[in-house]
Amino acid sequence: MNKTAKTILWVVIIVIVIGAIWYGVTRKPTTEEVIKIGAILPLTGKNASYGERTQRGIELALEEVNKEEKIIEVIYEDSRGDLKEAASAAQKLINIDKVQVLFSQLSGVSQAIAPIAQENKIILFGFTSTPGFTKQGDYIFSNRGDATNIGKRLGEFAIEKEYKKAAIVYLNNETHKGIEEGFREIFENNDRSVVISELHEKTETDFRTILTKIKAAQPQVILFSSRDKYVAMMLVQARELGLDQQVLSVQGIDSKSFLEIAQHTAEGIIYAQTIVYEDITNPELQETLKEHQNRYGEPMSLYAANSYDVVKLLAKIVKTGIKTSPAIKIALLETRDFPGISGDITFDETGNVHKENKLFTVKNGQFVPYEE
Amino acid sequence: MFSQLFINGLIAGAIYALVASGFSLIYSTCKFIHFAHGAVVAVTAYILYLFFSLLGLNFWLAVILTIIFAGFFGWLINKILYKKLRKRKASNVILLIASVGLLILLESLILLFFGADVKTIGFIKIAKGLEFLGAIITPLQIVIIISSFVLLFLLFFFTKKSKIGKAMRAVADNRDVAEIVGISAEKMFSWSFIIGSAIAGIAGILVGLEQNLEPTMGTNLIIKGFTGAIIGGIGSVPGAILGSFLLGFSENFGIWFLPSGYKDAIAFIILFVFLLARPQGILGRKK
Repeated sequence: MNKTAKTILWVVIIVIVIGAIWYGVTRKPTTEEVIKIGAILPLTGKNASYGERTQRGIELALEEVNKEEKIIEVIYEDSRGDLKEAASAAQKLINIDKVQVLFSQLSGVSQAIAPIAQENKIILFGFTSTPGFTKQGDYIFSNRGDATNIGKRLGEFAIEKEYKKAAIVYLNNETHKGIEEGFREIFENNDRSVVISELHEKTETDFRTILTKIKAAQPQVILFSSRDKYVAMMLVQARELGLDQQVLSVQGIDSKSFLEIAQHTAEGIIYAQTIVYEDITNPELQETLKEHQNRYGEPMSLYAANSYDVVKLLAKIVKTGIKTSPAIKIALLETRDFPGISGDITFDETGNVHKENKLFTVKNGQFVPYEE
Repeated sequence: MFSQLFINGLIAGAIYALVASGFSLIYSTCKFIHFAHGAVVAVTAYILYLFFSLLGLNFWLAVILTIIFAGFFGWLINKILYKKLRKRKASNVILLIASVGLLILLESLILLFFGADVKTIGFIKIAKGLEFLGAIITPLQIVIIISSFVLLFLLFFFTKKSKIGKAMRAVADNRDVAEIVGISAEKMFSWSFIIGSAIAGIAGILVGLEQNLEPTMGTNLIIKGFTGAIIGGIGSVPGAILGSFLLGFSENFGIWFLPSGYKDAIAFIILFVFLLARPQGILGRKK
């Protein structure tokens, strides 16, 4: 190829590239009736199982709300639990896909996306209970409540049971730190003591030495505040080491893999969360619980319930003709007692919910409400 | 409490050693860092899950098939990836990058086929462990510790006494001279992958039973196994095993005094101390 031919080829390539970019940028969205939601979930990597559960909730809700005509479209982006990945996914969803609402999961990732969403005036629903999360801006919402309240509820329970000495192991992140603080506050203000409190990292699978330290401190009750698989592993290793104290735990352990790992050691664990299976009389929601069980072979988890509820709530708002983020925000703040599987939704002025944490336990391999 | 901490360190060290020994065997012969070894451990753990939990084979048959599969899998990795790269005169850095790529690929494939949930093999019933000099240990943990010691001796005799072992050492020592006397280096590379990966198979089975299965388990294992191998002297299999135990003990005794969040910090501080003060490791030879 001679020099002129090469130059012409380059010019042609550059023109095509510029043309393609121009087309892509100026293209009018073809489906204006549909509102777009960008969901930034951990779909691969260490936390993929949590993203999977949230995705199930979204998918179930979408099928229902889009049955007659398509009103909501969800675009998934994989955060892999990585903050940088999540931030660039958020930029892409806002600027290229023009989403009106963002979903995010995991405390760290949600914290990283919050300023981006707020700056662009795009609603962010964080599926996280990080304390103070929704206070970062008027576009930041959560329907999971504040983690500190979970700790407080468990602390109250420990006091009711007259435990004097408690031990805590918690996952090293904002949410679980919040739970630890909540528990400690209630427990220690009532003249009791947290004899040992240890954190663990996400790479941990061997808790034996932490548990050996707990054994030496001789508590009467142990709180494992972490994600399902870690709580299950701690439970197994604790029982193997001969620790037989009552174990307390937190929301999100309600999964099939928790029961599979922990086997019979799961029996009798007491945990606090806001899901309200037994109170659901709404036939539509009951139908959803059944559908989840049939399709995925396990009861609906809190994570799935959280995302399901939010999609349903957004669909209700969108159906009234509200389609832009600022208008949806106002409608969200006006919401009163929207019936959800993870408790009724009413937002406070910061965009968070105050649901009652209820106690649950495992009985004969089933997650059931705790009764005295 | 001392005896319990000692046992905890021994269990952790044995798990690291199981990973480190195969890794170090491959390194000593092929002279490049095969990070995908961690993923081989993970793959074999899932293969056991497939044979035993999904297909319902007899447990011991499943174990034997898994170990055979692991050896074959290692051979295959060498044949279709590393051998091709070596033929193109790829440097060790390229082989290293290829191995990291392979690690990520294999983890993604596990995620694709088996899903993200933690899987349990479910062969062992959870029960309180046995009391032993004031410490508690489960039967499986005893098996893990014994396996790693047995491997230590078998590998020692294999490299010192057997024909293939001697030839492997010859290639490790000086590839050109070994080839002049009629030892095929490529053949020895294949053998080191087969044996190293079969050990990874044993590691996968034992770790899978002890810690359950997760797609990303391989990365965590190879980080600790690699650290153990460096401390012990990379290229020396007995050294790698020794280094792994040292790592297990220092982590577990360390977090008795420090908050447990420092566990990884302890591991890496030891790594740095060795890299600075004794870069050839405990049993490594000075070049």
